[in-house]
Amino acid sequence: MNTIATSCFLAIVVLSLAITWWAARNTKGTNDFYAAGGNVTSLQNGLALAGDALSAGAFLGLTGLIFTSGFDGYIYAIGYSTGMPIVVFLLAERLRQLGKFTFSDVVSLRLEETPMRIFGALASLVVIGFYLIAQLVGAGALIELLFGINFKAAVAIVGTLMICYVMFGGMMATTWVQIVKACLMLAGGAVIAVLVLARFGFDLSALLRGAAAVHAKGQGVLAPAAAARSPFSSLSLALALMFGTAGLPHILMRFFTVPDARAARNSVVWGTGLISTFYAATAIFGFGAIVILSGDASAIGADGKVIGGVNMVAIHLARLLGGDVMLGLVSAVAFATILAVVAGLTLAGASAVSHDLYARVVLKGRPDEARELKISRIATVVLGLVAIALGVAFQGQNVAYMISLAFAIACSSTFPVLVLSIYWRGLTTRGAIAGGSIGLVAALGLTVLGPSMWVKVFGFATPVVSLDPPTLISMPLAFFTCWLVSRAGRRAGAPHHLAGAA
Amino acid sequence: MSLGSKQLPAEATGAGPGFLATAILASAYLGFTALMAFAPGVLATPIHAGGTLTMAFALGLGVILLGFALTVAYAVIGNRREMQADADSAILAAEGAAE
Repeated sequence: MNTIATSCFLAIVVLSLAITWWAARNTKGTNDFYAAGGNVTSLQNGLALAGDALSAGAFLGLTGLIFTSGFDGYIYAIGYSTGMPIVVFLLAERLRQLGKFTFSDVVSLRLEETPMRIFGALASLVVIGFYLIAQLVGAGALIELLFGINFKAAVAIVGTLMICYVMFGGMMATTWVQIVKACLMLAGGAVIAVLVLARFGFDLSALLRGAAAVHAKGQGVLAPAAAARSPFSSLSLALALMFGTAGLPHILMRFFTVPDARAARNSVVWGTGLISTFYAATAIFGFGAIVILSGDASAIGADGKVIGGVNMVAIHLARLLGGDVMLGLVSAVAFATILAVVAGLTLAGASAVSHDLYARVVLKGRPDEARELKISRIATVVLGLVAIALGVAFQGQNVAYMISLAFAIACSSTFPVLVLSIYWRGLTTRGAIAGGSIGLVAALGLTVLGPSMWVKVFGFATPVVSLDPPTLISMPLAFFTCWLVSRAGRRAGAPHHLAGAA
Repeated sequence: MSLGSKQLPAEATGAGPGFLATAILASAYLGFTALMAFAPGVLATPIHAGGTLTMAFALGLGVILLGFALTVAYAVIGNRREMQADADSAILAAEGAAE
């Protein structure tokens, strides 16, 4: 255990938790998501948007992916960067006009509320699950590396911490929490990028030349190769990364926290600018790590593998650039932001269970806050335990890659239903449920049978389905089923129209 | 909650610019993906002879930049339309008051 690094780590974690706790306290009641948040400026909201979209897991994972595969890893960063603009173009403006900012609220405008809420809750739970596991794997690896405890125990500690965090604080991913998180991450990223570039005299070509010189792929590290080997998977990945963001449960409501449409538009310019810059900069982290970690015995083990796993490349990079202090700081920022993300996700999942599932199905819409709260607490613990178990099962998998699985499921289940319910009057409740469910089941099923789970988790030699992620099949299938069932059943149910819908 | 009673604001900026921007970004990104899948050789060539920076970086960063540029354009157009709509309704209100 490294005293300087761990004390820096603990100091920053405690500090950032204190800041977020204080911010959340100040936010609660007055400036909540649904309270319109009149005093959030465009820049602040843009930062919050960046905080929502950029997870520390993605930072750790993308750096690791580029370190391992060069440009083939950078593809993920390019893809993720297209997500937020698509949300802006397709959804943001319309949602502001409709005044609805959660999946269930939007689709319930035209479709029957109870079945749509149940579907929305189930789909959200699956998406949240994958996202949560990815973040836990990242945080677990971090604790394992920093404190020298084994991965299973590390994941259990992080998971328990996460449960406590939600139980005691009820920490919402409020605007302020996200702003603090985004500033920490962007500042950390900027420092690393500058330190890396300084090593190469601020010459990007020199950086890339260096990477090509030491990487096993040589010159090949500077161009894509994997896509040509499996064209369909790469197209599938492109769809997932591009449209997945729009289906994520926690992104939509961000457009409601600014006072007017104008501020919302300006805030997406800020947000997209920050997000795009960060994703572009992952090339500096990743290719920089190829050169800087190369041949360093403190980062690369005797077996040629990264010590602590591939998700820890960014952490080694920070240490080699700025010593133990930098190691402690960057680990702390990554850990604290992961904790904020997983707490927010867990809370979203728990409220899906208590508010949408339990309140709708068991209580049949009769309000009973005490019982809902109890169920929400139980759901938090169960969700946390499930995430810990799965986090252990997914040990060693790249975090950015796992996040792409969550995206694949989101863009095959919630995204088609959301887009059709906004733009196509012909969508019926039955069509939405059928299409969304088939998309969800197909995406989940094909993922289980695909390389990420069938081979890496269950240990089979070859995947049943080689398409990875399954978006190329599951997303069109969801759209098609929505259309088909809506058309077929149009006369069966009374059509619900939005009066005056354009 | 009564269905069918929801009214969209009349000044609603049409879906046009949104769809157009989506189409542009999607074709650029999917085009880039198609190049990766079917013509990786093109992307492996340096931007200028003997250089290190490959076409892959130029086009990849181009996609990221395009996403941002389209977002800026979309926001500017939206703000202009809104200002136009506000101005129009102000004129209408003034005319109404004059009558």
